Amino acid sequence: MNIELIVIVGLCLVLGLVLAGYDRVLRELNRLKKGREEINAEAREKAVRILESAREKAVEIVSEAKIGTLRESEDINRRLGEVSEQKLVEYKQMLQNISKSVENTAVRELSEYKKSLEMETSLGQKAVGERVVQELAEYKAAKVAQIDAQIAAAVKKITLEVLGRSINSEDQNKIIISALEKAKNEGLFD
Amino acid sequence: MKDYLTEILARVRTVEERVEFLAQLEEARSGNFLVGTRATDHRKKLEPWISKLPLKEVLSEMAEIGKWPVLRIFVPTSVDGQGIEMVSLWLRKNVDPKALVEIRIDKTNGMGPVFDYRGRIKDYSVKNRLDKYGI
Repeated sequence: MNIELIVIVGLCLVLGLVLAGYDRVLRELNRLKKGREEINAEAREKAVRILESAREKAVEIVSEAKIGTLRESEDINRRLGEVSEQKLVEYKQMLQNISKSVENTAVRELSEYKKSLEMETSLGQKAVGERVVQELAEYKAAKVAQIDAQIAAAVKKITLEVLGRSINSEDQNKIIISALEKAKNEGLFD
Repeated sequence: MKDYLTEILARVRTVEERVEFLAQLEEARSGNFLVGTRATDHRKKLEPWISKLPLKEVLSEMAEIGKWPVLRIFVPTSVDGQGIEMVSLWLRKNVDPKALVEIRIDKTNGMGPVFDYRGRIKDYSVKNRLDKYGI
């Protein structure tokens, strides 16, 4: 009986110790959870601050860049204007020089060509004249021969047709039989 | 020679006559397989001398008749019936008893015929003689 009571008391003590330990662990867990939430909140706040700062910096950089670009553009335009005017003057001068040079060359070459042409014309005129006369004579002879041949062919055709019509049936029959005899002797029907 | 062939040769002397004769034979053949009134109608369309022929035998020789030799003659003017008769008689006596004549008009030859027999040519025209002499 005493032993049982001692065992029960012992078990109660062990249970009390376990419960105390559990309570301590639970409190520690709550403390850590709370700490983590605080850290997260602090991190979010820091991130927001960093983003805000970065945006402001970016706006500032863009503004400075715009101002710089505007100034450089104005500068470039001004310089281009200066260079263009200078080059335009030089270009006009160069064109005038070229024009004058070309004019001089053209006048000189034209004069030389005219002289050369006059010489060739006077030398070749006689030869060309002779050649043209010869070609004309040949052309005339060829044409006359062609016309003669055409007339002869036409006369022949008409003569043959008239000859063919002039023959009567009796004579034609005799000519055919006579020709048949000749053809037989010459082996047409062999 | 069979009697009906002699009869045909006496009637058919030119290529044109052969064409007409063969056309009549075709008519006879189409009617030959018919009986009654329609067969009689076909027979009425034939020339009397053809309708008297032994059509069954003649029809069996249609292809042979189509092969009879032809002498083609080119002349400046047409040849009359007497001329055809003369040429046909001469041809069948001297060359082939079944030969036919075909007359073709060629006004450019002048006088004198040109013969074409089985693809062989003999030219007795005035034009040919002038050409030979270069006239």
